[in-house]
Amino acid sequence: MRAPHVRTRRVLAAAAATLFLTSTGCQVNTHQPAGAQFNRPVDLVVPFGPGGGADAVARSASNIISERIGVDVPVINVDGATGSSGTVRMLSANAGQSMSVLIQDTLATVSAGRASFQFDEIKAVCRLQSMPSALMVRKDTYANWQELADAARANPGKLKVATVGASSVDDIVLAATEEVAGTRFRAVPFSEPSERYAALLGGQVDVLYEQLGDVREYLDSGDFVPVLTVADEPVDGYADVPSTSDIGIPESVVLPQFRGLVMSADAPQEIVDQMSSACRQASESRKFAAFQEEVYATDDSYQNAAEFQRFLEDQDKLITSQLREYDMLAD
Amino acid sequence: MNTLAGIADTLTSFGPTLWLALVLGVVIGMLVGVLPGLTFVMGLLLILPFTYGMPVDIGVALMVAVYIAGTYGGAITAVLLRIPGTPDQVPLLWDGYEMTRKGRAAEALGWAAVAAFAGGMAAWLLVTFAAKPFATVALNFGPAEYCVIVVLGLTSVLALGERSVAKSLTALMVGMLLATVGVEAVYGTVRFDFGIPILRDGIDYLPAMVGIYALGHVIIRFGAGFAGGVGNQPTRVRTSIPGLSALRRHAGSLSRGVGVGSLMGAVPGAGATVASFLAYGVEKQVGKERHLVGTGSPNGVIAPQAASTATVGGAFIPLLVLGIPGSAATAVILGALLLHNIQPGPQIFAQQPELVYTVMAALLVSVVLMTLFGLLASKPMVRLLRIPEAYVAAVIVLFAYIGAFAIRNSLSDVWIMTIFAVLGYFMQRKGYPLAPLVLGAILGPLAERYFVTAMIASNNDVSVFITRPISAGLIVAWIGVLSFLIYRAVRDARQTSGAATASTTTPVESHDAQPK
Repeated sequence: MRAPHVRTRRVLAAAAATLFLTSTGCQVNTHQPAGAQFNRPVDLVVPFGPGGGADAVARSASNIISERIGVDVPVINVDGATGSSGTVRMLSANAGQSMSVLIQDTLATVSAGRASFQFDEIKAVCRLQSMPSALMVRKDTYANWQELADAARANPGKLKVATVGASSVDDIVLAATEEVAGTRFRAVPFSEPSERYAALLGGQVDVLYEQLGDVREYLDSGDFVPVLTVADEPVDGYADVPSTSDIGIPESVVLPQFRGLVMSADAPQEIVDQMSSACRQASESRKFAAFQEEVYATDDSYQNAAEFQRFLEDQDKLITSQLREYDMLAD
Repeated sequence: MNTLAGIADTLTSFGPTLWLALVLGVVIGMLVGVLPGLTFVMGLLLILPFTYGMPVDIGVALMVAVYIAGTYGGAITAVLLRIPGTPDQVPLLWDGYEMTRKGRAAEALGWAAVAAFAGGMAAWLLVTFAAKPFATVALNFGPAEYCVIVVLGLTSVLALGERSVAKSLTALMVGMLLATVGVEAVYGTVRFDFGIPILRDGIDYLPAMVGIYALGHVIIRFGAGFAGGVGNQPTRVRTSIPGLSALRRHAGSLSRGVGVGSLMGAVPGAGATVASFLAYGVEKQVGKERHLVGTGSPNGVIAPQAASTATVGGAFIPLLVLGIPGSAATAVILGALLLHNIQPGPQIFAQQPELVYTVMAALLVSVVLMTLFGLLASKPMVRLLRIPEAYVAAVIVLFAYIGAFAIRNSLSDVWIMTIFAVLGYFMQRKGYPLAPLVLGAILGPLAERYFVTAMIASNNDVSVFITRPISAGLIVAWIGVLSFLIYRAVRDARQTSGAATASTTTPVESHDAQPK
């Protein structure tokens, strides 16, 4: 009766080998482009839960980037703390072997001094998306911005707004909106997109602050109704919805939502530049372009490493001044 | 009966590729379930890139199969080798492994398979016939309700250990404290990192679990020279599929497990692990044979396993009906669907009924295949018990290290696992139960996040927990569990003072504190 044991052990060994190959051996890739610096997988950390906008853009881009650089680009979701948790995860990996998605809201927490990492710990790789946000309500609650504003004035501090996280850009825009409308809202942070949407659908909150493109199916089905777009000019397809500039919110507060990739500041510049050009190729692909259109991303979404770094520095200054104005800076 | 006809049509139109995908999916799912450190969520993430190139129905069928089989595979190693392949299999160690020690391994495996089958069928029925009303109910749960559910889970772990509530509570608190290391989830404050980069990233419960259970157990057994291990197993093992009368006797446990699992499945962030622990706790408190649970009772295997597998249904419904994933696994499936430009949600039933039918049909086939493979595999698996334990221990160590590294390709997890193995060893030597520590590390952060969110939403008004009807009902249930615990503690204290001789070891401790 030795045979079965040997067989069982062989099966176990084979299973171990299979696991080892699938989990760590995927980087064995024979057709690497010439001059490639990449010989290990490069993690792409999404600092928010699966199923949201940041997750969608990361998963759409990771395939194409992976083809270009010749190694795997596994997407890992690490949500929490308006993106801090995921960015810290990226920073704790070897520099140049991990990148993460950076969005406006996470940058805002850095500017506010509330993030668990510093601005100079990260380095821009590329911007993938720039897109408009909106305040939206559940169907059959408030017909338009006017009704919502009236209700908010009648119950100051009572209406709940689901946001992506504490001290995010959502909070800045909300503060500006409160000032113009002469009332107060209550921002409730939900780091998981699914929790945010369920909160509006189930009546846990009254308003949702979200990018239009991320909740397109609820907009198309009529479950969510946008009442105010966060934009300088009317948004295509939602021309009849008033924008923040229509109600008198200064242009400097209208911070576009963006999503880009960043690496540790210690990552070699060569790696960053190659990754940046892989991003460009990804953003030029037909499949990615179709995805961008679906989520209302603007035409000038892509920025290379240098442009994105400058953009981030400008936004950081702008957000800092906004935070100071609305008294939201950490002590 | 349109749905049934649709599913039947879809089933008959399954091509060979789809069948292959289902078989492959079930095998992969059981494999990741068996391997410690690799959960079904990670299994899904690993196959996700491969689904990009597949037609959407095949990709979805594959993922459904991996998901459902992943909730069951770990049962086999949990029962036979005391390795929880996934966190939701931890409760199976208590009664399942105890049954193995008593030479009833085949029976335990049979019950695990039956429970997984019942859980899977319940999931299928729920998705097929009750999706829409169920989704409406799920929407009424907010952060306050989730918070109370998680607290219920935390409390139920105290009910597991019978004797030393103090030691259970200590272990629970240590688990919760360890989980606070790293970035706090709502405001992003870094806690207890002591300036060390690895700690800033937090202590993940997966390497902790693998270290404490798999590696820690090996250290204990190594210390004992592998003496007095698993009792003699019958030489010819038949996985005994329970007969009708036995089924009837344990129907209560089955249905309680299924009920808990279906509800918990819809709670985002909780999922199979919480469901499994809760179901075990329920069994221990209200089950007909509750006094036997913990001493190797089939009910202690049935309830958690049925609950784990039944969560699949609860998790799929919000995904299909609302476009909101009910679990991390369904969130990955959502990601795959999105990449195929399919948005589940309010309109999918009208616009893409074929896809919905494919999900339902794939679910049904996977449940049957999984049960079949489980029954077939357990026969050779039981033979594993006749291999000298030292050899098996070496393989466990290997798997533990591979698993810890595979979690996120990081060596720091390997260190965390090793440290927890040593911690687990000393805890067992001192008679501290391990389950509360692991559960505290898993549920503590969830409880905190839901509590903080509920507080923000209510402007720091604690009364939300009792003014919201569902939350109030859950609070009543929690008070019930708590008073039961106090009652039992008082009663036991009286009994012990009367007859101080009886040293009834608690179920958790009896395995955790192995003979030295």
